[in-house]
Amino acid sequence: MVLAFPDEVLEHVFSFIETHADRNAVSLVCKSWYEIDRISRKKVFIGNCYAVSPWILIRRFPELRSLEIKGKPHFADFNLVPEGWGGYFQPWIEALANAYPWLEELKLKRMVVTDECLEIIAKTFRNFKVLVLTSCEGFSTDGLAAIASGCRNLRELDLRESEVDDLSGRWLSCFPENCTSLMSLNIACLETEVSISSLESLVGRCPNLKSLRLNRAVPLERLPGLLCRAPHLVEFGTGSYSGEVRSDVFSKLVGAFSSCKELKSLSGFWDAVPAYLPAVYPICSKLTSLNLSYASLQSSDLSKLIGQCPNLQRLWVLDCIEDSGLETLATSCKDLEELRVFPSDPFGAEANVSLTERGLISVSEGCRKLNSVLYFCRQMTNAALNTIARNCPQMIRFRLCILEPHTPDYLTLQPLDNGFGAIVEHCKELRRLSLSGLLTDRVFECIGKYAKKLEMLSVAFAGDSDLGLHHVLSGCESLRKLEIRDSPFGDKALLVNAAKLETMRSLWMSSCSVSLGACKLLSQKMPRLTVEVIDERESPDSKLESALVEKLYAYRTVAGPRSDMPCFVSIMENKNAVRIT
Amino acid sequence: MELELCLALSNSSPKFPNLKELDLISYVNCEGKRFCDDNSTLSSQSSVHGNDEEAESDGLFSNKRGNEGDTIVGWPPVKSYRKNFYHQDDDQRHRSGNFPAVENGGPRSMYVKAQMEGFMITRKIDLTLHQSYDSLTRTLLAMFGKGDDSVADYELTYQDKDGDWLLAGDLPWRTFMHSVQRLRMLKRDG
Repeated sequence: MVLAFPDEVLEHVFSFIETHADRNAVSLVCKSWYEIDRISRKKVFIGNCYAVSPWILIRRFPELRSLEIKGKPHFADFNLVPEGWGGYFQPWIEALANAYPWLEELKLKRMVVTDECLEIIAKTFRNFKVLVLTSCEGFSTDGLAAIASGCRNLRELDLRESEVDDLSGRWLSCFPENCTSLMSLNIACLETEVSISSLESLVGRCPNLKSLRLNRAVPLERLPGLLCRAPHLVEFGTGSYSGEVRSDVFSKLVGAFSSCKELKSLSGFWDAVPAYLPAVYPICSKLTSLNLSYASLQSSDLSKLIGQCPNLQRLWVLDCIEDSGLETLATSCKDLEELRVFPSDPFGAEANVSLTERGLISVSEGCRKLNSVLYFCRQMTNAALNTIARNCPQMIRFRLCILEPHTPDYLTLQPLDNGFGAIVEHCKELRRLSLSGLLTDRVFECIGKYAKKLEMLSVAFAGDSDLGLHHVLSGCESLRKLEIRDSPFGDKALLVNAAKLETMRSLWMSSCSVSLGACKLLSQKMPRLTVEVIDERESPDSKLESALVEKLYAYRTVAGPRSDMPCFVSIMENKNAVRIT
Repeated sequence: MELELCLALSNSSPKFPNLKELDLISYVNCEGKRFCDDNSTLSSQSSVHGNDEEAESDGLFSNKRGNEGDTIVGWPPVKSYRKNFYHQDDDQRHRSGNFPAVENGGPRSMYVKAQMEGFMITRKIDLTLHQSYDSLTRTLLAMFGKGDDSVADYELTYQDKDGDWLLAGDLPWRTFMHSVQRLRMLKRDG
């Protein structure tokens, strides 16, 4: 006799298993578990919209409430993916609208979302609650108006860094008077003015509003009016934080910030004027997250502010903070976990601020919980990287960008192989790494040898030969995403490690040494891989097998080759392409 | 005889054997040893890309820089909305009300070197963010720490495709954009 739990019990147990990785694992245990997971699954994450088709998704998971999809590859953020490449949400929303009338959440990243898509969302899903559009494009404020007026239970509207065709601010006034459900609103990426009185009314009637990020067009004098209507805010993003210094405005602002007893995160601060910074001092001791990366302030002003935030866990800042400001950070913020330092003058020929490797060393020494770094600078040494590696063995994300390609260790003039080697050797939990500076194949040998948990690697202007790429593809067991530009890696490493590519989400290689012939061969060898050759200059048909491709984007898929390519994208022929229909 | 027109690193077909019979392991074994013994940062002749590694990696680099006024596409890796923010002033913000195709991987940024008389540092400015000489001049002044009141003290000159230095302002803006290679602000006499 076989004893088994009834399906309902298993389903109930599975409902406590939340992460995608865990649910995926559950579905692989046995057929009945697969089936129960299948019919009870509420949330799905799709890392590459072309890896699977809407119909495959719908057929497998009939009860979805929440979907997260990513489109273009990461290098699209830096204009390396030509416009029109793809990542269209339209076919998805059309299929989803038919299949999931009760869909509640959509989170999209780097996808092309049109006003029509937004209109379909607004019209179709009665219980729609969460819309997050990260680095998306293709829609205008008209589409936002449709969402505002149509989604009666909207909880979150987050337009993170999307490119919006900003026709007018009137869309915000489309939220009906009886809309009281908003918990999170992020319009920071919008350029045009919205009606502040509409905003005040909206904020005032949504008692659960926890997160409000305004756009630059909201003037400083209007902040008190908004803050006072949202005393339960946890996250707040200011608009333009500047203006004539007036004591009445200042005291109203202080009062307004003080009244938000739960505020933990601040951002915005465009055009920040030092005189108004002290207005946030009353709440600094509770702050865990501070984004000052739009504030061009002197190091001394930044230091004064940061010195008041002992509980800071995350800081995003411009390099105007300089080494001295980072020393203050190291002394004051012992709980710091994430630091991002952006360049205030990325295209300037020379350094405009005194930010060097010393700043990062200070932080690594003072902030023992530091696990996530993004650091733009102009100089680095192997010794510094060694020190940082030893100070922060718990590092998870390490992204260093030395502004000038091929920059060596400025003291020894050696490549930075040794330094990055130390990072991967000591930081055994490292999941994400971005390299820069002068680097030979040796650094890749270290990465292949030590970086066993590495999931994403970004390479630019590095390496000498195919050996470099071979080390990475053969050694990095957890690798999911590899993006490479302007590095002399080519056919051999790619073809010998072809099977590896099917264990990864995607590979991007641009301005490398990959030949058209190798791309064709790769595609023939790997039926479940789509190999895209992207070339805006000429069609591959007219090229010899030995000609180098401009850009290669290869990704695993169960949906076969896509059919929405523009003329500059060629998909290498694959007669054995596996397509699940 | 066919012309092979592309950004190829090597002109001849790759020197490694038949693609179908790759044996990277043995390649690694012999070339790798040579590589480890060789202390120089560049592998000597083991590469499949031809002989002169250094020139080639510079070639990749300098090819990108060649045409569009000394910039590399997508480098440094700073997102468009941040790039836009650095050089913005009120004029630009209100003007760019329509769909910002410039920042979105469409017509790309066009950075040119800009110098000001009396300053050692050369800056770079994205011309696509401007639509008039006035806006360009004001932004240049601001970049070098001069206020709007200095407009009368400086005149804008540019180097065109033929290498000649000319006074800016005569050509229609779009024609100027196609012609300009470098900018220089000179102090006005008198």
